[in-house]
Amino acid sequence: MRKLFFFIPVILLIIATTFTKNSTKQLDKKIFETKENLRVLQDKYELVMLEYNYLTSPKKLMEYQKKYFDNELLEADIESLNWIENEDKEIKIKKVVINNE
Amino acid sequence: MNEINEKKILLNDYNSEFSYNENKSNIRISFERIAFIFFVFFIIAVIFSSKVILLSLEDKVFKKKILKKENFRSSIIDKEGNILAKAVPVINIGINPILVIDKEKLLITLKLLFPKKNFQKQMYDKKFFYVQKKISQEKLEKIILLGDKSFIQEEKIARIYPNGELFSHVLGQIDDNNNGISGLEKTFDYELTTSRNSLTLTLDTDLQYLIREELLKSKYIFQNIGSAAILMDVHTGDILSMVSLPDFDLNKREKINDLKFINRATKGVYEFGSVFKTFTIAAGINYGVIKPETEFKELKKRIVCAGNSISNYDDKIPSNLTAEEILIRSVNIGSARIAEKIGIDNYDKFLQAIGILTNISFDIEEVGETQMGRWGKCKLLTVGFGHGIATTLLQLTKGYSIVSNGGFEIFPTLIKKDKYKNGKRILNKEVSKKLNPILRKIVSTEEGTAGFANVKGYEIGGKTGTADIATIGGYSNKKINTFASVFPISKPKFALVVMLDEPKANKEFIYHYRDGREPYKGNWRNTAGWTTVWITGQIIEKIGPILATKY
Repeated sequence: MRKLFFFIPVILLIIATTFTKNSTKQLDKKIFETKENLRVLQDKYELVMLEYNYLTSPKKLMEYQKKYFDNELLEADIESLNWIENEDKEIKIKKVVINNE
Repeated sequence: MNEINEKKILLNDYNSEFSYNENKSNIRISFERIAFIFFVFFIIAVIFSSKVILLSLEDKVFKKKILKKENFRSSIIDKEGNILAKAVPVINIGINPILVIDKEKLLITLKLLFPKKNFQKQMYDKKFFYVQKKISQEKLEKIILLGDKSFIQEEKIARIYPNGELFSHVLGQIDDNNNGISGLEKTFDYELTTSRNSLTLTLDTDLQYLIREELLKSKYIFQNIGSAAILMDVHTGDILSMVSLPDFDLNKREKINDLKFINRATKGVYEFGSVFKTFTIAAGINYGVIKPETEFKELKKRIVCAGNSISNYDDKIPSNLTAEEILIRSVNIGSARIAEKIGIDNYDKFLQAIGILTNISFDIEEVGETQMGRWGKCKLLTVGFGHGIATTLLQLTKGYSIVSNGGFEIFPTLIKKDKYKNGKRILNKEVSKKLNPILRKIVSTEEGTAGFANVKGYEIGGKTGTADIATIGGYSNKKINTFASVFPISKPKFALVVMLDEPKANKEFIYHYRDGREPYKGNWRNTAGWTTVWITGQIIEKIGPILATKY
């Protein structure tokens, strides 16, 4: 009887371990597949980003500016730039550069 | 010995040396055997354990050696996440002539596919040859459809640099086998080929572009053979921009052996001249030897040391000046006098602390070393005004960052960090407090030498340096013109150091003053104030709005 009490839990544990191992194996497979899919998507995303970065690189933007907006885009004067801040539902305009001199 | 007699048999007792004893030592013999075997195994275990320990200590190096590189290389991105370098898979197509069945037929097919190429000679050699490296998908499909088994496909990676030459000196290059051979590609070769995470830099593409554009303009205005600029965060040491001209297009994958392509920002070692006077004044304040208002009376027009004459660039400079005026008016004799007061030990300690005399540990291998020779009485005087000591632009920028940031130690870097620790204070806090207003006066006052950089709204402070290039046994009339600036000076945030290599005076160039004075044409002065300062002013005007709104 004592032996029975000992063996039943052991067998139950072995069965439980088998099921757990089997299910983790399935999970591992799914994780691997997801990671691989992510990697492919990441590669695709980086290729799109590469194209985007190339087309919006400063060199290209300056070319577009010369081609399409020759006289329309002007350099920003630092003293004319302002921050708009929302403080306690109150909109405040602050200078970007405060001249201390 | 037994003797045999016919009648008698004499039997002698046989005395043998052999005697049988019960073997009590059996146990001992087996114990020795076990001990011996144990000893052998113990020695083997010791050898293997020590090897394992040794390998664990050299873990990284070992991995680097044994790792078979995959066709993979992580991207390098800038501070804003823009891709600076990306690896894309490519296919090279080659032919093994031994496997070709009908060479004539294949040659005709190749001529149709690649009309500009002739493979006649290679086809009749026995060696493998490439038909096309980085073949287009369209042509690859046509070749696959031929079904010829002599075509061999080779999967490789190609590094794409969307900005071409913009970061050439920083990023460096890789070889055909995916090994980094220069710049960051070399230093971070292991990380880039094993980790899937991109390498994020501190650099900003927009700032880099704008600074490079202005340096390119300087080449047309002042005909300099090269130039360099570094923009650094004075508190963190993060380098926002590092430009060295001439540069090269990384996408062309050329071998760069010409010395003119040296990285002038990190590798080139130069005597920068008067920009060092700032360090002399800073050292004087740090050791309590001088204050900005300390007076120096009866300064000589010329002094001779070890047969070499030291004089000021302008004989009209008054003989009685304060330490502040010495820096503003860039007085050589005055700086030499201050250096003399500081003394060799203190000045050496100071230059070590701010990283001028110590080898800089940096993220790329192309780094120059300071050249100075031995300290002596005359060396102290000349170093006091920036001669007799050659260093890199990177060390100079680091030095200016430390003396202006409150005296905190920084380590220049190109790699973005998640967390920043406060650097330890290495200089007296009075140094920046007293020095920064003087640097501002150099830009904002008429006596100063850097008026062209007084861009409205930026509170720029800085110091000019015009140095003759040293040749064997003396100096040439060629110049290194430098301007080291810090802004906004009331609360320093950035250090921008610009250097022009061998600029020439431009007599046709029209200078527009920033204070509304009439434009000036026909300059003959080849000094930093008339060359580098002008370019720096233009740079800050362009990058200022980005710095003010983004950082």
